[in-house]
Order: sequence, then C-alpha cells, then structure tokens
Amino acid sequence: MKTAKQLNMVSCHYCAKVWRLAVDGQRCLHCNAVLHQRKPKSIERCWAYLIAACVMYIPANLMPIMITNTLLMVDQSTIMEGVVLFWVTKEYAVAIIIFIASFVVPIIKIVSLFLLLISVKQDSIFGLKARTRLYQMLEFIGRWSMLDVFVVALMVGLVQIKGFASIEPGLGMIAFGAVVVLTMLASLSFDPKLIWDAQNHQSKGIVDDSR
Amino acid sequence: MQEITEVIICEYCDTIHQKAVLNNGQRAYCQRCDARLSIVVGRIPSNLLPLTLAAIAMFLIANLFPILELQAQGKTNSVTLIGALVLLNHDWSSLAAMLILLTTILSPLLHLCLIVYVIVAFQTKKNLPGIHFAIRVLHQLLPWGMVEVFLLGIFVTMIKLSTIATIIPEIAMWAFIALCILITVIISVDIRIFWHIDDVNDSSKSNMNVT
Repeated sequence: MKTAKQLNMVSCHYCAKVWRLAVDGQRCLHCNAVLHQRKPKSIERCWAYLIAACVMYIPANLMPIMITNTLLMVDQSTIMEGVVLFWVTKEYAVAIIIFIASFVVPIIKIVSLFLLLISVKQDSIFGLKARTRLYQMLEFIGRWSMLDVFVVALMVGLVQIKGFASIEPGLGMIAFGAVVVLTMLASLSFDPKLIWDAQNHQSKGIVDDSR
Repeated sequence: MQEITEVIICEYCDTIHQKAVLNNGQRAYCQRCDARLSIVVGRIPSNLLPLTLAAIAMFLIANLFPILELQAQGKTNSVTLIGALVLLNHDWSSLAAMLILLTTILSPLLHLCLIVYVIVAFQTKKNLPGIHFAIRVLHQLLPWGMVEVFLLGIFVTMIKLSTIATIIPEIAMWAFIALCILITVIISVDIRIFWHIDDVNDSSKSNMNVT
C-alpha cells in the first residue's frame, strides 16, 4: 500500500478531494480550503498547547472550584474534595462520573498526548494501529471534562438564596476550563498521519496486513 | 495541480484506496489502520431540514426558560442558562462564562443555522454567497458544541443539590433532553455529504469502498 505523500498526492482536510502535484499552501479548487500534506507545525503546536495544559492542571486541582457561603460557614472545595464528599454521602454513581470526567479523562489525555508526541519524535513503528485508536479516542473523550465547569455554573445560578446559602465560582474552575480547551487544541493540532510516516522512514517494503 | 477522482485517502494514515461502490448500510474501513473511511456521496437525507428546524425550536426553549428550580427555607430560585452566565460574568469568572457561552449557546446555534442555510442553498439551487465558507465553519464547529455534556451537568447538579434542598426540573431541562437527541441525529449525518452534492449528478454511486 502506498501513501499519498509517496505519490505526491494531497487530500483536502475539508472536502476530501484528492489532488496530485499540489504545493503546500495552495488552495483546494473544489472548496477553497488551504491544502497541506501534513497539518502545519503540528508537533510544535501540540507541544505548546500540551505544556500550557500541564501548567494549568496544577491550579485546576489545587484551587477551589467553588465557594459555598452558608449562615454558619464558608466552604471552599476543590474537584477532588467534591468527589470525596459524594463518596462519603454514598452517592457512588455521581462520585464515579465526576471522578472520571474531571480527573481520569484529563490525565489520560495529557499522558496520551505525551506518548504520541514522543513516539512520533522517536520514529517508532511500535503499535501503529493502537496509537491511531488512542488518537481517535482522544478526539472523542476530550469534551466530557467540561462537566465540572457546567455543574459549577448551574450551582452558582441556582443557589443564590439570601439568608440561606450562596455559591460563588472559584479560580479552579477557570484553570480547569483552560485545561479542557488546551488539551482539545493540542489533540486537534496533532496530525495522526505523522504516526504512520515512521513506517515509510524505517522500512522499505511495507508488510501487507490485509484483513 | 490535477484532481484524482478515482481514489480516496485515509485521513488517519495517508493510505491511498481505490473507490468502489458500497451497498446500503455497508461501511468502508482503511486496510492499513482500520479507521473508518468517511467519504460519502449521496443525497442530503430529506428529514435533515425538519430535524434541524425542530432542534432550533428546542434550542430557543432550552435557553429562554428556567432549567431547574430550587426550593429551600420557603424560598424558591430558578436558573436559566443565560441567567447563570450573567451571574458568572464578573471579574475573572467572565472567562468561564465566555467558554460556556461558546460551547453551549454559540456553537450549537451557529451549527444548526448553517445547516439550514446550506440545505436551503442546495435545494433552491441558488448560488447563495459563502456556501463553501459555511461548510468549512461547520467542520470547525463540530468539536466545540457540548450540549450533551451540559445535559449531564444538569443531572449532576440535581443530585448534588437534592441533599440540601428540593430541586424541581423545569421546562428547559426537557428541552435540553430533546435538543441533545436531535443534535445527535443531526451530527450523525457526515458534513462531507455537502461537499459532494455535485457529484451525485455525475454518478449513481451511493458510497465508496476500499480496494
């Protein structure tokens, strides 16, 4: 099987028309989008977004995501404190949903992006299909981490009762939203075709693994 | 630069495949990386326009009416999506308000309106301006609409507050459920179908297959 790059072909990112002998930066004659063999500066942009996401991940977890004012006390809770609170009040299903959406998903995204970037840098031909699946999964799961941001917004809107309780957003909410957006931008700027380019670099004869 | 019409290129691994005719319900997968080959030639499903218009109606209800009502200490308070954003819109938390505005209001609304615009343009066969730009924007918007995540956020908020107050679901919550289902159906139609409307006249192919 030949790749499009080897035969000097490019497919448009948008309309998927295939062009031969197109120069990077030329426009698709069908839909007028800019054509690229690979996403431009894919690795550099992905690293930049990923590192920014890692930095924001620290305040996202350490700073309070919301502040509850009641008659008796002021309570600041971080994401993990929220999960623990649900767990001890025996709301196991909600505790697990929030734990997965707010903790597991961002960690998986950040670790996977590191893995993809480093393996592409190493020109690794190990687990090409598995890494493609990993990338497809990243595209799918990223959005679900926004859950906690939405929950805090709704709580702030709903719990505004004078003389009883009010809820304010905490700085952690912003940092957390930033992590979600930055990891989404990172996975959008990564080009999965780079994973497979390693095979063309390393082996001359491509093994035909026909199904 | 010349167009090659008889092949398609896998968007994940860059492998070239020869087009073939697919029967109804058949799907094509890349032989090298197993990713779905998503180039669709066909007619726009006739129910897409009514579904989109219904989704716009649901969107308006979901955004203009209260989502949840809280009752505690003899007092009640209800929240609309816009109301929650207005409360968030001060100091630094206006950043979070903007993020929520983008993902739950602007992105889904623009998405639905552009689909209506594109379908009307094709069905009236008028050369409406910016049609290709509109379809490219549709591609870009796809990852940023998060209505389904917001719906899960509504449920989590209900459970979270049910321990301290009485929470009553209001009309907009039901509208969000309907909107979520409608958007899922609408998104399941590949946007690429809009790029290949012209091709339908050229051939009777309903879809394409790998070699």
